[in-house]
Amino acid sequence: MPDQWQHFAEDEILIEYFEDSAAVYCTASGETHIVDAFPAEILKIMLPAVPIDVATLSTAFAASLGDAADVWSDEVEVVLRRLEQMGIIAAVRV
Amino acid sequence: MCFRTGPFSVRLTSDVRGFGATWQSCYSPMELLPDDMVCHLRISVMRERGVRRWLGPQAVFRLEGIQPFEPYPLSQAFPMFEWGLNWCIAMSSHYHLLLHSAVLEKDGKAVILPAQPGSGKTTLCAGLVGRGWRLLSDEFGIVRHSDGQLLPLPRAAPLKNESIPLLAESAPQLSFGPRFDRTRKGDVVHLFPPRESLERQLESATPRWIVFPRFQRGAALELIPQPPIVALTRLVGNSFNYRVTGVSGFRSMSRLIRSTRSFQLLNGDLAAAVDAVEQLLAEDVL
Repeated sequence: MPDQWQHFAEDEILIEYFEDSAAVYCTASGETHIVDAFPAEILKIMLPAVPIDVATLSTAFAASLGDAADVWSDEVEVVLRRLEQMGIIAAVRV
Repeated sequence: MCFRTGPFSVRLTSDVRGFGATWQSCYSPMELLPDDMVCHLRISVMRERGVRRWLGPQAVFRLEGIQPFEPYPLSQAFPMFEWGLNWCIAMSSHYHLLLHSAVLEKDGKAVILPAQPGSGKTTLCAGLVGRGWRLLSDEFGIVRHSDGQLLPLPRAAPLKNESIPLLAESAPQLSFGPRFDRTRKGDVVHLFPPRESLERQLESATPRWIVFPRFQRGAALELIPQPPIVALTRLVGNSFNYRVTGVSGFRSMSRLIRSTRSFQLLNGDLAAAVDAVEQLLAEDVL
């Protein structure tokens, strides 16, 4: 499993948020992806485009809901893998 | 001759008898340009010279000397030209975001009617023109990347089959062209763009609503708000050139969605559908 995950640079990935969803444009592929509320929120947390690990992400996401971080870590990891497959984020090995 | 149509200039040559007269009656007072001007598109509509001309006279459409389509019957030269010009614009004008939609404007506010063939787009468009909406285009929503404004392209709107008597009856004050029977798209009569639309063809409009029309015989009227992400997804699929325009297209599309409200308009009656769009304007829902 990767140590951390990271947004691509701002000129590689463009994100527009609409209500609780987001449209994500990948300049490399020319594809536009529509993501729903959960991955959209994860992407928002990752916006600073610095490497971040699953635990930190889960904590930040859970905090927004008032939950414990470990409740969300499995789901966060699944979303990260999906976003990686879509070419929206990249795994970073430290 | 060379003429301007919205943001495009066209050099048109034809030797088809009657074609020029139909063109004149449709587009007068279209702005003509100097004959020596270099135009965006160089189009010819000419009589077929081969042996076929003895069997069934045909007209050939050419862009820059290349023939992209099979010939049409000579009597259908005008609709062939209109469809051919639309095809040329859709294939080559990627410095704007092009939506497959009608666009109309009233009181400075524009409604975009994106739709697939058979949805009743042109019929609703003509109905709104009959109620005083300015026709920007029946075929193209042209979004300027720099500011998101909609650019007019006022051209003849091809009414088909049952829409022809419907509009002739409900909007007799509008100008219609000759009837072309049994074209590849059915029987066709063009709604000629009103004079005001031609005179204001360089005047852009601000998008306010996106209304996806869907005609269904006997259906009760339903105007259903569309979530922005749904509208964006539908418009991406509707655009002629979204993928070609890259980052500019994504930014223009996003801005368009943010600056408008979107609706699905299910209807089985033209007058009710026109009323629904008029109601949006009256309430200025935004």
